[in-house]
Amino acid sequence: MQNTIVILLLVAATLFSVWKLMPARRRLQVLLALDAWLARRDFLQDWRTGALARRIKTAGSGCAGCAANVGIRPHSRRR
Amino acid sequence: MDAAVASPSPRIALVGVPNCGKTALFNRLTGSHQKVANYPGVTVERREGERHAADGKALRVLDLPGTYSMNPTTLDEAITRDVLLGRVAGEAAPDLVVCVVDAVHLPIGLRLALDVKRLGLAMVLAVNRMDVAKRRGVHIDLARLSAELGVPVIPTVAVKRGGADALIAAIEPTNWQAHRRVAAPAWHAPTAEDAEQTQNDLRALLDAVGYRPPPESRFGNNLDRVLLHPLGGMLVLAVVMFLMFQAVFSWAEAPMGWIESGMAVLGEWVGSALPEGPLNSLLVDGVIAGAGGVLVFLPQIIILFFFILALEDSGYLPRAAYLLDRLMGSVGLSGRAFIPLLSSFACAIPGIMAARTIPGWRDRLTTIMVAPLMTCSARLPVYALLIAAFIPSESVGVFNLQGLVMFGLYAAGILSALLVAWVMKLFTSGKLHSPLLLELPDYQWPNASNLLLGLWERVKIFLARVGGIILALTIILWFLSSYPAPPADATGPAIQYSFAGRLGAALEHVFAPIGFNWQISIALVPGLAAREVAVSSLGTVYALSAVGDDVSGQLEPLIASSWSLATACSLLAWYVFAPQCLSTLAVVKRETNSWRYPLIMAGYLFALAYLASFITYRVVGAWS
Amino acid sequence: MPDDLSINREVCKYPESPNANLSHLHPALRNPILPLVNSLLASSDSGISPNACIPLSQLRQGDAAVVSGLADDTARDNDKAGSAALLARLRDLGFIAGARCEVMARMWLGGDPMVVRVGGSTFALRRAEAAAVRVSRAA
Repeated sequence: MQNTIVILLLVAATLFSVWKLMPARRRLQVLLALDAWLARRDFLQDWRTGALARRIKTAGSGCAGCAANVGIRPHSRRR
Repeated sequence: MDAAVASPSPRIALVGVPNCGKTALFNRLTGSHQKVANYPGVTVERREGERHAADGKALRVLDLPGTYSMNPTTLDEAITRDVLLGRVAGEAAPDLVVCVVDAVHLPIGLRLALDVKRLGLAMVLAVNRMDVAKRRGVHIDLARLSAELGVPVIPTVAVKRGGADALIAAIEPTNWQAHRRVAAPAWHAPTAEDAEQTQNDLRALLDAVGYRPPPESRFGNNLDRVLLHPLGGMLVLAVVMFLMFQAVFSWAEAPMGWIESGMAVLGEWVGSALPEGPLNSLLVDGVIAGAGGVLVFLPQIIILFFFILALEDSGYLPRAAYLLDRLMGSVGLSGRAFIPLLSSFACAIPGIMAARTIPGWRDRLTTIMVAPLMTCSARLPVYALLIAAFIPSESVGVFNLQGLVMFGLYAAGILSALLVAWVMKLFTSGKLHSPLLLELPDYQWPNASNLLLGLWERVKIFLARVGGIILALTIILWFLSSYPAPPADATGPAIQYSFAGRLGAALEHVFAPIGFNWQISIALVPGLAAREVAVSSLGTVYALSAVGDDVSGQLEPLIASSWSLATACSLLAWYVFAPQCLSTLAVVKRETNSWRYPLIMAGYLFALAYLASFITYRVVGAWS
Repeated sequence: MPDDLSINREVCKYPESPNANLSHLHPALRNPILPLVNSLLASSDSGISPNACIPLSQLRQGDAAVVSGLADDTARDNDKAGSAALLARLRDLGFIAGARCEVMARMWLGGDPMVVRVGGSTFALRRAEAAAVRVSRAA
């Protein structure tokens, strides 16, 4: 019994760490892949169009996806 | 990708010059319903909040970085312009702009308002700090201002309850939807004639509304006479910084004791309530000894941020930047770097992002490269643990020795940052002019509700870290330290036969010259993901390697008895420099847009850390 | 970025200015000398007539003056864009002809940086920035 709980906790902790330490771009790719995979099935559609869509939006427009960087790219300023 | 989002709610953007009270007004409008994207900087990051209009419909309120002009000189000013123009991908131009101006310093804000108005977006002008203006005898004919500008003009007092009610009414969609612009806003860089025109308009406008600059505030002037004095100001700055570190130790003592004993009670209760087995060990040795051990440092983090936020709110920080400009300039840092570097004491990540407020790529790069040398709050638990275990709590004169050592560690970080900046200056050829051009705002008492909101934000972040990544990594480390189980004829503690034990034994070869034992070597590895994990890892590793029944023992006395002073000092020196934070390197990669700088940073930090630890270990070892 | 570098360059002609005397020199020679001359001038108040047009950087703590224009001809011959951006920003901050300004504080040893109040706001400036602001002493 204790063994089962420990294994479950361990798997959850591993997945969570991988997710948290993943680069933002990779995280977005995973979310998009999940979205595409779910789009071809007919379960969890409410979640896909609701929570998942919102999650994707924020993942895409976080500071990593900030297009404001385009105008003043540090490299173009180097002399 | 933009799958099924209900009809978009109206978006309102707040824009204004720095220090006009825009962020306080934003807090007033959105309360605690705000989202700070990823990391909270000083309005450098994207802050969005929500409020509900009278008809229940949601309004999205965006707080843009402060800017003096639509003609940007820094990255965050460029972001403000691009958001207003709808140039930022995934974000249409806002439906309504609330331009915030400070009534006391009307000209500078109104000039920006004229710029913003030319974009052609629906606009409301919020004239903030009306209470201070009235007190200081500044008269503004708001009706006339509204007539001249052709936009609604709303008086506000952001720091007072109810002080933004008129603005809240004015941003109701029914009040402005008719003026909503259909075409995209347009902007072109102003020519000299445009600038002249703006100045003439501004002058006419100021005359029309009867604005006269306020008589100088005697209180502010007297304070400045002391705080900006080349000698007196420096003394005050040193005392303020010093008090901050003293307080971190002495004020936090009692609440830390409560949390500590709470954890001990919890550990004992769980240990006896659950039958012996792996779950028992995971909870007691892993979660409570590990993650619980980090939670203890919450009071110290709250006190540190209390000081940082209060100083920020009072208007003192730009003055400190002025005092230190000469020193920073002599090593090739811009005076503007002071504020990003100061926020690096919280965490290097917002600090590195706040470097966007520095004009000039080279200045910005130098600031980014030295930001990790500022001791971030994640290092505080490590310092606090080691200092409490090895430094006696004696008083030296009026000061506490522990506080002094802590101050010394912070100072070591700062001095090495200056040194690194100076070395970087040697490697860059040519002299580029780096402007300071920093506004010194009026002094004001820190606003209690803003302070609490800011502290609450930090507490949430810390708790989310402890309950999230720190907990998860501690569980994984517990597993790696417990399995595989030792053979039947094992003599030493079980952990020596586990994955982590073997890894630690291998790493010990690398770290033995600087005095680290295998327990420390293990703890350094998960510490790469989050520095505090080093503390939780030590807790777990020692809890698991304990033989017999001293398991319930606290970490602090345990390391005090098993490490030499030289080892402890060496680890402290390591933590001053070591690039023990992968997220920082990732942010540097993003902000500099190349792999080159994060690699250089990691390289130089590791080299410095190893060198400093080596010297410390040898010197302290020979001396004690 | 404003494309016009010579904003108000004509606004302030001052024969007693060191720049005028040195203008025949090659810029490379001119630059190292100027700061020296400026600091000498800053340390003595003789030689500047009350109505003369001088760089803001030469005022001493407590001095009040009226801005007569902006001109950047000191040390940035190699950085035209930076120079234009500086002038544009100074203008945005309120350093415009006719504005009253006052030096609130200066650091020791050369007075760099300095604190200047203009248009009701207070700014910290490095000496090089202040040199781009031309002022005439208030009567």
